[in-house]
Order: sequence, then C-alpha cells, then structure tokens
Amino acid sequence: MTDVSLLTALAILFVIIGPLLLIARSLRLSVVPSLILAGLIVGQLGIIDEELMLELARLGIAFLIFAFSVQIHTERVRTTVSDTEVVAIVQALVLGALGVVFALGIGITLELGLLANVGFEGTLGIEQALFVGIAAALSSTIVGTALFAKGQSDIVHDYLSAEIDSFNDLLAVIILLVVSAGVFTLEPIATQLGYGVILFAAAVIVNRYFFGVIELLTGGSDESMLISIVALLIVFLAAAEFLETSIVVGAFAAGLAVRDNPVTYSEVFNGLTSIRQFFVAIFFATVGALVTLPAPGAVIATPAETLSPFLPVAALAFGLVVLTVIVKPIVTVALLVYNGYDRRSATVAGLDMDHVGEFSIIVAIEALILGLLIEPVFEAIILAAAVSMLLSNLTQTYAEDIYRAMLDRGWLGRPYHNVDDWHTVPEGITDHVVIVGYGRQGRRLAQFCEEIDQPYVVIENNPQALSALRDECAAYVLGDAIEPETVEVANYDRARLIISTAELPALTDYFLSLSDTVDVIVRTRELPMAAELLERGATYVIVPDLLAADQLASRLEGLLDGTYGPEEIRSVGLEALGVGDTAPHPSSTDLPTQTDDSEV
Amino acid sequence: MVEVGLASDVAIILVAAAFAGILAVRLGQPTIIGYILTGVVIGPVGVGIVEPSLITEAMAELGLAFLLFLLGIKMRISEIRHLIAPIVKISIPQMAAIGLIGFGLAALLPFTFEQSVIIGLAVMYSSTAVVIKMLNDKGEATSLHGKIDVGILLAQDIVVVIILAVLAAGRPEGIGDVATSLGIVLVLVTATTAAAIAASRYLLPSLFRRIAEDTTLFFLVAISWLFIFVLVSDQVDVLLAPVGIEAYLSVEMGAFLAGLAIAQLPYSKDLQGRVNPLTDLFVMVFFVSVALDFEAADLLAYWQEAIVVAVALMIAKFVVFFALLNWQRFDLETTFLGSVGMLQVSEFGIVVAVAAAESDPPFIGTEELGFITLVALMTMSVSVYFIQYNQQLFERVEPYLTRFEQSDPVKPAGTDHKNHVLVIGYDEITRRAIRILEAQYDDIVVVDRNVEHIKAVEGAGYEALFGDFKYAKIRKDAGVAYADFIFSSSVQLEINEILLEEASEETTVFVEAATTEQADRLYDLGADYVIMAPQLSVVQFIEYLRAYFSDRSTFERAVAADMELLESGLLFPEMKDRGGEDND
Repeated sequence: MTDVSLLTALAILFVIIGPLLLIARSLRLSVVPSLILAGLIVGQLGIIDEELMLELARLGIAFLIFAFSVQIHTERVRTTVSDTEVVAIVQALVLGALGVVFALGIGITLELGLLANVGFEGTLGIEQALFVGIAAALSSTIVGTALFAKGQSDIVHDYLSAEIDSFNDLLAVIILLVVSAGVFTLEPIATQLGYGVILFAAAVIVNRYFFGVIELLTGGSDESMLISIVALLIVFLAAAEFLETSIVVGAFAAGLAVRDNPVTYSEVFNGLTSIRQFFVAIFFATVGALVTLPAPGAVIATPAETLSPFLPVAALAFGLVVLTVIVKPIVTVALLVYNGYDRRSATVAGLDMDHVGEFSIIVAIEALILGLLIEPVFEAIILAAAVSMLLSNLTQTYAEDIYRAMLDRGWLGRPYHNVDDWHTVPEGITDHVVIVGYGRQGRRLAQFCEEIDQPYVVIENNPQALSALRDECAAYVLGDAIEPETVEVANYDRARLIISTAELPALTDYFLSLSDTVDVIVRTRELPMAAELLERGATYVIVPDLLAADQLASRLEGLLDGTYGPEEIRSVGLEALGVGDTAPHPSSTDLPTQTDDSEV
Repeated sequence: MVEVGLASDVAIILVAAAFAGILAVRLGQPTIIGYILTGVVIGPVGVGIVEPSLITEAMAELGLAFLLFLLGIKMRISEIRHLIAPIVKISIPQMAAIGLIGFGLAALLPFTFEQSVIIGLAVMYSSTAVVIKMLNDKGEATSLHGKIDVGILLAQDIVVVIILAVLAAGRPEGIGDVATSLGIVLVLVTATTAAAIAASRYLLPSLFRRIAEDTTLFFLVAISWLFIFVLVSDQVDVLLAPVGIEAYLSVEMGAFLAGLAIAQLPYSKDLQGRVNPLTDLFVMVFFVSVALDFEAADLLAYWQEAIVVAVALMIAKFVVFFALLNWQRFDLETTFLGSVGMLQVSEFGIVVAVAAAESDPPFIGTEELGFITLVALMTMSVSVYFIQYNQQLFERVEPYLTRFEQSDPVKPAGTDHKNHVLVIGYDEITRRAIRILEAQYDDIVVVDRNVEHIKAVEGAGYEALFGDFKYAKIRKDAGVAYADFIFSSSVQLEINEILLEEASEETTVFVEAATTEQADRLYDLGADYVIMAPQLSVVQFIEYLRAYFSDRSTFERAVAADMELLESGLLFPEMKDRGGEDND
C-alpha cells in the first residue's frame, strides 16, 4: 500500500514516534535512537515513499547542520590545540583505522566465499570500508551530552566529552565536504574544496553586508525574519546543489551567513528550533525507515535464504557496535589517563562517547545518495548507530558503577602521574583541613585556611589546574579524591575536617563513611538530599542556594526597608564582582552553567 | 539507489514568499496578502514557474492542520468563560445575518442557487489570522474588544470545522441526505470531542506532567498527539467502512480538537510558542499554494462582482457587529473597536470554498473559487488599515454615535498583571525572596518550567505560569513590561538580557549570573543587582567555618537551624531525579 499520501505517511510516522518516545523516556533512553527505532517500525510497514520522505529528511539534515554552524561560528575560534583535542584526533584515527581494517576483513571473507551462500550485492572494498571507519571514529555532541538527563554533573568529564565531541563534529563536516566530492581522488576533492570555499566566502559576505539589510527590511517582524532566514538557508542549499556539492556544505555556509543574535531575535531563533526539531525527527525516523529487516515470517519459512544477505549486515553492525561501545572507551580512557586525567573522569568521559554519532549517520546518508555507499553497509551503519546509542545510554547511567567494577578488578592499572610534583603534601600531616575541589569555592576556602593559619590539603582532579595549584597552594594532590594513592598521601584519617565541594554521590558516600573519625562537610544542591546527608553523619551540608539565600535576604530586606538605595545595592553588587574571582579552569566543583534543554 | 533533488518547488515558494513577506511588512500589509500574491505571481496566473507538487500539497495540508491545532491550544475555557454567553449570543445571529446577506448578494449577481449558498457560507467568518495578528501587533489582544473579537473568531471557527466536515461528506442529494451527513458528522464530532475532553481530563495531565520539562520530548509528543487526531479524522472512512458507515471528518476538525485537549493543561502556553513557527512556515506554503491552482482568468473572472460584494460585505459586517455588540451592552468604544476589527472575509472562507470546489462532484467551479478568494483578499487588505487606525477613527466618529452609549456597560474583567512581582525560576533563593517581597506586594507571578515547582508555587498561593521565558508569549502573559520588581534566578545570560531589554526603566531587576563576565554585562544592561549564588554562598559558608574553628557553639546553632529548616518541609520540593538544569 504505497498509495498513501505524504500527510498520512507523516501522520503514521508521528503516531508511532509518540508512544515510543514515551517508552524511551520511562526507560531513560535518549530521543535519537527512539526516533530511528520508530522509523524502523514504520519502514517495515512499507507505507513510506522513500524519495519523498528523503526530501523532507534532508531538510532535517540541513537544519541540524545549520543550527550547529550558527552556534559554532559565534564561539571564539582558538588557535591553540589543547590536549583534549589531541586526544580527540588520536582517538578518531585509531578507531577509524580499526573500523577500516575490520570492514576490509569482512569484505575479504565475503569475497573469498568462505561462508557458503552468504553475501550481498556489491563488493565491500576500500571505499566502503572507509565509511565504516568514519562511523567508528565519530561520536557526537548531541547524543553525547545533551539528550540524556543526568543527575549531578561532574564538570571535568563533561567538558572533556564536550570538547572531544565538538572536535568530532568539526571533523565530520570536513569529511562531508570530502564525501560530497563523489570519489576519493585528488582532483575532484580539490574542486569540491574550492566550491566549499566559494560558498563560505559568499556566506561571510552575506553576513557582513546583506544580513543587516534583511534585518532592516523585515522591520522587526519575527515571522518575516523567520521565513527570510529559512529562505536564506534554502538559497544556500540550492547553490550547493547547483555546484554539485553536498547540501551539508550549503547548510554549514548558511549558518555562517546568519548573525547569531538570540536576544533581539529570540522569537526567530525559538522558531528555528521548533522547525529544526520537527524536521530532524523526520530525518532520524526516515533513516530508520530506510533499513530493511528480514521479515519475521520469511525467517521462519526459509531461514537460510532470508538471512544470508542479512548476515554480513548484522556482522558489520555488530563489529561497529563492539568498536564503538567497547574499544572506543578503552582507547579514550588510555589517552586521557596518559594526559594526566584521573581514572574516574577519564572513564566517565570515555563512556560518554561510546556510540556511532549522528554526524556519521549524515555522512552515511549523503554517501548513499551520492551512490558511494552500498545499501548493506549503510544499513549496518544505521543499525549500529541505533544499538550503540541505546547502549550508550546504559553505560552513561552506570558509568560510576562500571568505573568501580573495573577499578576493583585492577583493570584500570595504577594512576598515571606524568608530573613529579603531583602532590606536595608534607609526610605525616595531621589535624589539617582537606579541601576537595579547587574551583571558585575551593580556592576561597584555601585562602581562608591560610588567613587563619590552618594547615590544609587541596585535592583536585583536573590537570589543567596544576599551575594554579603550584602557585597558590601550600599542599595539594592532583588526582581523584578516592583513589587509594590520594587517600594515602592526603592522610584523611588524621584530618581535622574534610570539606568536599564536589557533588558526586560516589565522593559524598566515601567521605560520609569516614564521618565517625573525621568531621565531614559535603555539598549538594538538592534539599531533600541535604537532610538525608546530615542524618548520615555529615557535620554540615553545603546547600549553595540556602547559603546564598541567607546572604541575599539581608540585602533584599535592606533595599525594601530603605537601608540601601537602589544605587547603593548596585554598587554593593559591583564591588562584590572584584572579590569573587572566577576559577581559571573548569573544576569538578564549579556550578555547571545551565545546560541547554535536550534538543535534537 | 535513491535519487533526491532538493524540493525545488518548495525552495522557490520559500524564497519568493520571503521577498513578498518583506515587501508586505514594508507596505504595512499583512504577510498573508504577500503570500497569496506570491502564489499568484509564481503560479500559473503569473510567470508559472511553480506547480503544486506532492510536497507542497502535504505542507499546505500540514499548514492548515497546524493552524487549527494552534487555535485549539489557545482555547482555554477558563479564560473566556465569562465572555462565552455574550459571544454565543453575538456570533450565531451574526453568522446567520452575514451568511444570508452574502447569499442574497450572490443570488442577485450571476451565481446559481447552490453557488450562492457556498458563497454565503464562505463569507460569514472574519479572519482569525488577520485580526489576531493585528491585535497582537497593536498590543490589543487582551483588551476587552480584543477578547470579544478573539472569542467570536473561535466560535466562527467551530462552525467552519463543522461545515468543512459536512462538505467533506460530498454533495447531498436532498434535504434528508444533508440531515444524515450532518447527523453523522455531529455524532463523530461529538465522539471525537468527548474523546479529546476525556483525554484532557484523565490521560494528558499525567502524561504531560512527566515530560513537560524535556522540551524536545514535550514538543514531539504533542505533535504526535496532533497526528493521532489527524490520522483518525483523515482515515475515518476507512476505519468505519467495515461497519458499513460512510463518514467523513475533516483533518482540520481533528487538529482543532487535539489542540483543545491540550489547551486545558497548564503547559499549553509553552506549547503555543513552539507550534507557532511551524504554523507560520506551513501556513505560508498553504497561502501561496491557494493561488497555484488558479489561472488568471479564474481569479479575475468576476472582478467587478467581487468589488461590489467586498464593499457591501464590509458595510454589512460593521453594521451587524455594531448592533449585536451594542445589544450585549458593551460600552461604545468596545463596540466600535470590536466591530471595526471584524470587517474582512476569513482565510477559512477560502478553505471552505476550496473544500466545496474539491468535493466530488464540486459545488462550485474554479471561477467561483477565484471570486471568493478575490473578495477575501480585498476585504483583508482594506480591513488591515481599519484596525491599524481604529482609535483615530473612533475619535472622529464618536460624537455621532453618542446615542448608542450604554448607561451601565459590561466591565472588562481585569486579569492582567500590573505593578506586580515577577519571579523567573523557583528555587530556594527566589523562595526566600518571595517571602520577603510579599510583605510589600500582593500580586506575585512565578514563571517556571518545572512541573513540581509550579505545583509548589500554586500550593503556596502565588500565581504560577508554566513556560519557557525565552518565548515572547510567556513574557507577555507574565507582564514583564508592567512589573514593579523582577527577580530572575535563571543563569541563562540570554534570558536575563531579554528580560532587561523588556523591563521598564523603573522596574527593580535582580538577576542571577554564572560568571563574573556575565554579571558585568548584566550590570551594564541595567540590572539593579546581579546574584552570584556561588560567591554569596561561599561568603556565608566561610562565616560558618570561622565559627567552626573559633566558636563551636555558634556553629552548632547554625547547623541546628539549617537542619530544622531542611526537615520542616517549608522548602520547595526538589525533583530528586534531576539536576539543576530546569530552573529557567
């Protein structure tokens, strides 16, 4: 029944998406794999006109890239390469190489006919293998950080995964440029890059000169501005199509052409978000719908014939899942630990990116449309993406437990300390204050201890804080607070007071277990949790909002009863800005800045 | 394997409509006019570079579905309850009168009886799109005459969906046939309405409460909800065919009821802001594609008749509305402004006409469809100027209308906020602030996107507004511009910047910032005080710590006091399973 109208097909798609998303929500799974799954189901019904849906789906790709580009070009471009980006590059190279080798292995097995009756149309050569490599290498921002509602966040690993992911995204755009060249030979790639440069140049010109004109002409009408920006995107897509390069390049350039001004045009940008969410949902569902699974009926009737073309697909997908879910975290953890990060942050960051990223899906679909990728390999990549994203949800939920289990079995080895002065604690220190975390709070607490001549030890797990620790702290330990080496050096048992400014449950639980012998102050932002922690033996619980409210209350009362004039309260606030300086690096203890709502 | 070109028709439509939209904005015309003219220019009437395709048709259908869905979401019964009686008493006679006048005018002109009936049915509504857009632009949507107009428009829209459903059932063969279709339609509409209301009572509250905080999920599930109704009403003939019932429901009706079910939930305002842009986009395609089916000859076939009917209808509409509003004892100004807003023929008139033309066999031909479209176009364009200058017009004519002045007019129900405290994001800091502020202020409004917080706020007796402050709709309802004191505990710089831009000079604004740079910027933008919670909390904590080292009993007292507070349950409930990412 392919005579169903596009509206009906869309309706059926969304009718299936809704309940699946609800189920996924109750299982705490993220949106993207649920969408792919919904597409898979609808795809098996055979009601989707693939070409029509793909046209809508490509608008999804365009909006996804467009939004990414609008957001990226407003961030300051750094010229230095940080150690996390080195990690990202090496990780991508290693995984990419492994992916290629694995796919070639499958290809050779099929070619040699080692398995009777197993195979599919087309050959799995080096080009196909490259795409498998790309899929293995790239994880992405959206699944990695935003879609999953976690409890408290540990900033060190969050920013680790965010940096590696955004590097991956950039890499993906470059790969897409190359893929759109159509063939992997030098000349067309050069031409494509040339076209890309032309589009980007046009984008810059539009941004500089024409965008202001559009702003002026739309005269503050949000609707008109919204349609104009969408039209601008479409013009760039058409230009990309005309130059026979990928629409991804066009969408990326269009993003550069738009001035990011979320304050003046909040409604316009809200509008773009809604439109993007709608089309991106269609995109991921369509991707799922393009995968043909063997019909269950046919499997029972003629198992061998039905399954034989599917077997290599399944093998490829399985291999990709193993590579991304198991090998990738291992590589990432090894690289991060080598760069001086503690084993826990490294593990949690590694488990954040153990999936095939959605940019890989875009690469795959563009390659499929351009005829570069054969359908079985495409299907394998999509299946692997869906499965690995689902598994990724699981590993993120249990990241802390996985870390514990691996640590207990000794799989994580010893902490790698690549600096000699990883701690400066005098031996046999007693009656000291242990300050866990050297963020804004930790720094102020250390200062206070110095003011009152109280010996202290700072524990911090971010290697980027090392220079500040060296300069400012009498005694510090660089490492995770509950690793045995740290415990030994910092001599927790003989401390007078432990103040944990980190909000990780694992750390909090550990310190509370010491509360019989040492005074322990822990921190949480959840009020019911605070009461519980006090009951469990905490000497005091830092609830930032509660403490801040006390301070603020006196100022507000002063303003209302006329003790302060409006000018005075302002100057009190302005003065305070000089005092509370910001931490120079992300620390596990800083309040995470508001994460964006999870968005596709 | 898959050949995909970019949807070139959609591309041309979008680009052309963008230009037309800009042009319309510059000329002070509603964008709808721009879109319809775009269709005229790029379609077969003009240069003929675009023809309707499967994608444009689907997008146009989606546009209508979304427009009615959006309308449904806005129908919060509690907000218009006090106006329901007068609105019903005005809208029914008004539609009957204008329908009859339209029919009469058409019958006098060279139209057949059946065509005249359709013309009568098509011209009796005023344009939701034009009126609501103009009222919003002028800030009059929540004035009394604005509310009356909106209410009447909604009543008209209900009639539209019923008529669309009847038309979808095809040409009646006699009065009995009409009665049967009307009966089936009414039964189906009643059943669907009952399903929608039951869902909004029993299913949706718990469903959406669970997901409302996750914006993507919330949005996609709401769209999924819309499509369930779209699918059922679209396929109702297939569904009922096995039982031997031939029945049709319009997709528009389904979409409207899907929206209506959501409207009664506290999350509906938030959803409006999210659905609106999709509606704008798809409705644009709809308006452009209206003219795509026309040849120039069709649109202009009855141009002289169209001018006559347009002028006559506008006069008739004003007189009928003025008489009815006056009869319902609204004051003179409200009566005049309310009437002058409703002079145009609605886009739904075109929808009804399209449905009549597409019915099998068609009730009207493309020329009559062109005639109705032309009348709608002309009345919409002219009426925009009447709404634009309605106050000046009233001042001019007021002396001549004094005999219609009421001695005891209906008073507007004051629900708008003024000189109030507006709190964005409910957390421990704002809770304490509210306790202090309530000594001086009676009216305290809290905006939050956390379901539990909203419940807590309402439980504490303050007004709560569920929604994302980033959306203009929410800011408008919260009365940002009229607040006396604004307290934002959102650390999203963007939200606070928008807030400072929209708040008036006199308003005292406290905002929260995550970093010193942000705080600096917010002070530059005019914040009276920027809260840096981490810094404040450290200052307070160090006071405690000082006591810990030097004066243990003071420390113990502080701990005991906080412990008491934590156990007292006076605090707002925090969602246990979520982090701090929700208080915007």
